[in-house]
Amino acid sequence: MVLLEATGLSFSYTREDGTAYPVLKDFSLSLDEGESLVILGPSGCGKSTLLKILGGFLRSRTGEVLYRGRRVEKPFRRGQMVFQDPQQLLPWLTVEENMIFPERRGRVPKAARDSLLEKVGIEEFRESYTHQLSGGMKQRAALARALFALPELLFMDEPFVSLDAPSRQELQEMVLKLWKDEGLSLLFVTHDVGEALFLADRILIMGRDYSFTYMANPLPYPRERWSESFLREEIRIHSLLEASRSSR
Amino acid sequence: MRGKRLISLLILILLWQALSSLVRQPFLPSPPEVARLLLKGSAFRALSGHIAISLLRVICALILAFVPALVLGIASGRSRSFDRLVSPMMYVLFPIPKIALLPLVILFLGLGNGSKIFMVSLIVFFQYYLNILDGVKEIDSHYFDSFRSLGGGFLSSLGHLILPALLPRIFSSVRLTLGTGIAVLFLTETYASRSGIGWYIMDAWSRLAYAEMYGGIALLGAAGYLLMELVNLSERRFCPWRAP
Repeated sequence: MVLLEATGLSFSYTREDGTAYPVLKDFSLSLDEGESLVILGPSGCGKSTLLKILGGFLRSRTGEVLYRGRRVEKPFRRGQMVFQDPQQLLPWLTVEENMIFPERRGRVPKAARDSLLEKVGIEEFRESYTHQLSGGMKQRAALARALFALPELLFMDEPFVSLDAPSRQELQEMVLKLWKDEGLSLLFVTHDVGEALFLADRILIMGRDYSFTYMANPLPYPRERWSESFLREEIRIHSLLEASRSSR
Repeated sequence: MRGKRLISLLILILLWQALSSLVRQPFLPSPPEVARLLLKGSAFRALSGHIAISLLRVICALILAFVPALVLGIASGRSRSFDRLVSPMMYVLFPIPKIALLPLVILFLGLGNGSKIFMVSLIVFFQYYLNILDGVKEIDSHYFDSFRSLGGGFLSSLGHLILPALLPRIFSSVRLTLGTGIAVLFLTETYASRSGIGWYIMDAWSRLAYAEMYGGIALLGAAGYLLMELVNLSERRFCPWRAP
């Protein structure tokens, strides 16, 4: 069943001189319930803009976004966003307070708080402020915060881009587990082909020429990053990406 | 940390002592001479009374200026059209030397506390407004995006987002306006007044009672220091997330 559907999306930013800088033209997308769709593309092709439009943070000039058949006009609780840097974490709250924000601790059962903190592996940092956390821990806290809202759909905008390789892989595995265990749908933006192949059911390749191509991920679960088939797919997608890098 | 603060104050007193020894004039008494006066019960009581009146005036003025500056600063920071309407007025009024309006303010509000408090509020209001406006504009838009995705609206964002995000800047503003407020109050108290530390210091000067004059200045400095420390302490208490 279709969870999120977008048709005919167009979006332009305005340059300082007042001229329009289009990033999306007549774009369409469909995401099924429980599906993991990874959006891949070179920098500046409009991946993050697209995610913000789908999440209701930006308005498309044309077309529409439907979530369960209802028009998305503003951010919605069942679709939670995890940003590139965990900018949604509030520095004046502890990890635990951030997770349950805007609820107060007394109004959320301790068992529920403990379970979620444990799920994302951050229980020992529950009383820490965000400036006391590493990048990986911040992203775990951001994930906990998103999951607390009981979303059906997670929007993730290059969430692990600033992390070192081991942390990135650890968090990718955690996202995969959460996606399966919680029955989530996932819209994940990245420019890392390996990350896309590891997480996606389907990959959407966006080009700077406003083109977009969908491809199914043929790799079965569990996925081995160093297997021959994984590496072969990686090379294939790299070549598709190269073709999409033509400038505007 | 506390030791370093004491050393800092000690350096100030030593500099005063050195200058006094160098100048050797009655208009610059040494710290021990001033301390001897302050240790006299009657002089200390009189001075403390004037200090208390002045501090009360400053605190009332700061509160009186803060509330409207907070409301207008948040409204301008969050609404571009309101900002376009209000900020030009503020930018025009801010640099005008408002102390020049003191005789006029006295005509309207009389010689009592009202005119002094109003004058200080009028001057610190603009500092508060501009600081709060900048503070609201600097709040990361992702906080609001994320808050909106949880169903939060503007009113609930005030308590959950805007005020907590502004707190450190508010404390900075209070530190800044405290200094300005005391300086402005000093001026207003020298104008047709019979109470307050400004009047006390200028009265002592006109009587050539230099030890009393410096006693007033020293106590005013000490009161300012204690208030600053109180603000710092409150900041540590209410902004525990700030990295030391």
